[in-house]
Amino acid sequence: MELDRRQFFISLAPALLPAAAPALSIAHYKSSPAAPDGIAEEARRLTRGAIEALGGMGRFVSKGHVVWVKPNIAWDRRPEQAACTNPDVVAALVEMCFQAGARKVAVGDNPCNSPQRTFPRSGIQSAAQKAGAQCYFMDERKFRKVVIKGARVLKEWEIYGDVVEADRVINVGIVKQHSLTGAVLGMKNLMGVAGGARNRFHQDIANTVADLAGFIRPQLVVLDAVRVLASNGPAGGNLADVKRRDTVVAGVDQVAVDAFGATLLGLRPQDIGYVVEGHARGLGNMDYAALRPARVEV
Amino acid sequence: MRGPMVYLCFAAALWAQQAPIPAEVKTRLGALLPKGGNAVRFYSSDLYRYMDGGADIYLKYGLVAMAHREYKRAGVDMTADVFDMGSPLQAFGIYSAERSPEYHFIDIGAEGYSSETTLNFLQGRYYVRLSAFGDGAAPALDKCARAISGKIGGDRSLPAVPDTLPREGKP
Repeated sequence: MELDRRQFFISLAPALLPAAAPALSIAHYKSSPAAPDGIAEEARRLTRGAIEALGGMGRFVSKGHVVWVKPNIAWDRRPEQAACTNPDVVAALVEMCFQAGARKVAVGDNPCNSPQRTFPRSGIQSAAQKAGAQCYFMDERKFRKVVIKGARVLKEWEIYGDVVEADRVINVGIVKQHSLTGAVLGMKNLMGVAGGARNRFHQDIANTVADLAGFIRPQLVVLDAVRVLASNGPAGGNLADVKRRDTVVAGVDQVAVDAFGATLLGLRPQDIGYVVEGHARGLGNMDYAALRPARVEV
Repeated sequence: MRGPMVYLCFAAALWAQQAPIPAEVKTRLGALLPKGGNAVRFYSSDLYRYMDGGADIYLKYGLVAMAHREYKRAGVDMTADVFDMGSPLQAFGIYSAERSPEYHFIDIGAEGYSSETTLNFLQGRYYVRLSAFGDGAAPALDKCARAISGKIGGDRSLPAVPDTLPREGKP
């Protein structure tokens, strides 16, 4: 992707922000409610807390913007199974985008299971629509081939056109164990904006994910760790594999967000190939502690 | 204990993936699924289309083919996945890679476990994964699992190979 003037300045934005604005925030809930209503409230308050600690959604979204929110809606699983992003985290982000002046917020994913099942079952479709977002199944005709400059694997690939054209992209994944990569975090969640024969991605997953992350470069990355899928990911299903972390992470540095996310599964950042590759390519800093994350207790 | 098991399973898996898939394997696999809804089959070449990154470990354990069907019965959304792993040892390999001592084990097939919305079990060369949503999901899972188990038939014992390994570290 060639950077035009607008994209060039967007990419510079984090560096031009006031020194006081943190690049990473970690919001942790003081309690761990068990009732569904309590967990929903927790997810929304954590999300707001994490974004406010970064300086508020106004740092990322301005009046008239079209925003693409990319949750993980990959699997036919309910929220408590922790295979898809928590719907209340997504809804809170949508609400904040509109409050910051967004003209349109779209929520979408190119899932592994059929979207007719994953969108409603995950709870994301209804939560996003209730918050005012458009949440449609992806249209095959909207994928378009793009050239990814500097890519090691995906030199040319089909990416969803609406994502490429959006003024802002917010990547909001969930923390999950993954049999191939060790973990699904934020950067790997971006595979859901790609079309084509995605099985090819797995031949060199670390470089492929880094290629995608380098192309999409979301302005804001959020990681849902209210519940995490600690084993048998990425699809899971058994509630015994789900652990509470009662945490939402947010940041402008997608490598740092993922590096911290890995620790929530008991892994080290250097255990995740695409985190290491992203760091090596200068997409971000896997030494997340060096960014002095803002930590908030909600 | 896990190391030698993994090598044994992988060696068998590599050998199995070289051979073409006989038509009777495909027919038998499809016949194991409950009736209703559209059945889809996937093979080692395209399992990623169904499971994305989750496919990799199934390929390592030698998946031959899998059949998938979604259907709705009495208000319960059911998904049935039956994996033909090529041999009981390979089926045991993938099954044991996904089980956890914390699970609720039940008497089905050679071994199985269930939760409120899932039921997985192993029998012969097949690994069966079921999921269900809606009121009455648990009894629907149990009924479906027993029907599939009956169709698979044959020996319901676990492969003997793990018994030859040292007791240390056994779950």
